[in-house]
Amino acid sequence: MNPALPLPTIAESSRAIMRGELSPVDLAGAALARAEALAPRLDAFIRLTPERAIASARAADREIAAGRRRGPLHGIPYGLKDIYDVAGLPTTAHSKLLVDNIAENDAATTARLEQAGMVLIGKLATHEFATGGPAWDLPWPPAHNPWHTDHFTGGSSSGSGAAVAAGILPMAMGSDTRGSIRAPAAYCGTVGLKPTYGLVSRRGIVPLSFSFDHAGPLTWTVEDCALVMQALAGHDPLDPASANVPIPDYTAALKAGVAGLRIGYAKPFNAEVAVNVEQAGALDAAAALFARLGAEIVEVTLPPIDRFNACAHAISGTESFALHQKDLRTRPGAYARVTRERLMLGAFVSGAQYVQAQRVRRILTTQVDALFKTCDALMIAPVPGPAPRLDAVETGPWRRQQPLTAIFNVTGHPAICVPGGFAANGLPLSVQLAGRFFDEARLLRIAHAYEQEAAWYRKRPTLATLG
Amino acid sequence: MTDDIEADFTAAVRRAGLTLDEDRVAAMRDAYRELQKLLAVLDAPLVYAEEPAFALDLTRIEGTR
Repeated sequence: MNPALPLPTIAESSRAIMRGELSPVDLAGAALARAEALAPRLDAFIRLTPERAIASARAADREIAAGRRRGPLHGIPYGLKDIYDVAGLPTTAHSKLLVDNIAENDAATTARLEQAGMVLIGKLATHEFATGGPAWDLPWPPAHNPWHTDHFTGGSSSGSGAAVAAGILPMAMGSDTRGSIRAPAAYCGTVGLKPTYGLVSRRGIVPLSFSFDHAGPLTWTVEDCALVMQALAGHDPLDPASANVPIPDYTAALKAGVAGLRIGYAKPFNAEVAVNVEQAGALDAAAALFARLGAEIVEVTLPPIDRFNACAHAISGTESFALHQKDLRTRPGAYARVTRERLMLGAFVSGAQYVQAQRVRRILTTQVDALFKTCDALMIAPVPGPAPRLDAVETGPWRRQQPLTAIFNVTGHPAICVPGGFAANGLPLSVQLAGRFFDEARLLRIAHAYEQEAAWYRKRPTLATLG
Repeated sequence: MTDDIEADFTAAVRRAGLTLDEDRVAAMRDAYRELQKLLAVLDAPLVYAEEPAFALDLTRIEGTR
């Protein structure tokens, strides 16, 4: 393995391991070497776990050699946003408050990935407690975008986006409360899936907002996303929101194409939320591509964005404040300023506003779900444009530009971001597709068809090839 | 900013038991005003039948049966 090059995808590595052409030890070594080489420029990791990684990779080598290969993830490196528990390791949430917080058990998701034979390379940077924004008054610096290190990764799964885009890892776990998987995927040019609420367990992940939090993967390709979802999805009776639903084979129909499917393009949304001309152009081009592939494109209109944003602030903000109120009262200085101020806003929502938001949430969910009666997927802008410069990101308590992705945290529908081309400045654009509840298989199929035809995944950040 | 908003903000901070950095009070007050402006869309009247999302479903509670 040449650590100067991006790691192969999961599917590529898996095939090579199966044929005996690639060793998990070599793969883990390449990931660790690449992580160390790029650390000064990306700050993607909070902690590397080299001894554990090599031990896991050796164990995978032995098992595979003995004919006990567990499946396509066996021996494949991965990373965890540092809000996921790993027994015996700190879970810091990128915060001074949890710097000594050693996990007693694996998160349910960690356990599933380990059971599948994946090899943990390290814990990744996040915005503090998966909220706030890039901050320089924390124990670790914010991550940088591999396409241009002066630019923002998106958040809060910032290290996950950076590490996958830079080819350090083929997969990293993120979490998504208002878009924290999909925004880094969009800004860093990776695939990022927020599954249906309840499909992937949240047990053992530092919570931000009980009813808005989702766990999911960032990968380089849709196929890799499907492979990882096969391991992640499933009922967890110890997660009170976990759904007990059948889990399909996510790769079975991946290559079935989109002919005959109907995709609702939320084109009016572009003007409503001031999506810039390049990002809007990427969506228009994606609509044309889908049509060429045989899908029917229909224009759809979503409920007004202000209603989603009000729900998100009233419910998610209140849930977050409830979790953090004691520390915000007794040691507010332990938080980064941006985290502290944004969390404090949750205190300013009245009980009546919270209940009204819950009522409106149900209405919005029903309205969005009704669109899926006639559409197999919706296509919606995930971000207003390419990643801004890090020093231009809003870090005040109020964001003039609210996340566009929160729509599907309000409703719980699955949504995926797929690379959608490049802006004139070389930074990635993105296409967001949303699907029916628990129909990730169809959503992945549609995303895969777009990805393979558009082929933006073939271009890697220049940084990634320098090593 | 109206006196009402100013007074509401001061009361909300006190009721929540929060302490703000002196140089950040103005920014937080502006954020409070923006938040209340946004939340006003929730004031639209709803019929009684529009119950909250995630209302309790006893069939999902485990350990009591």
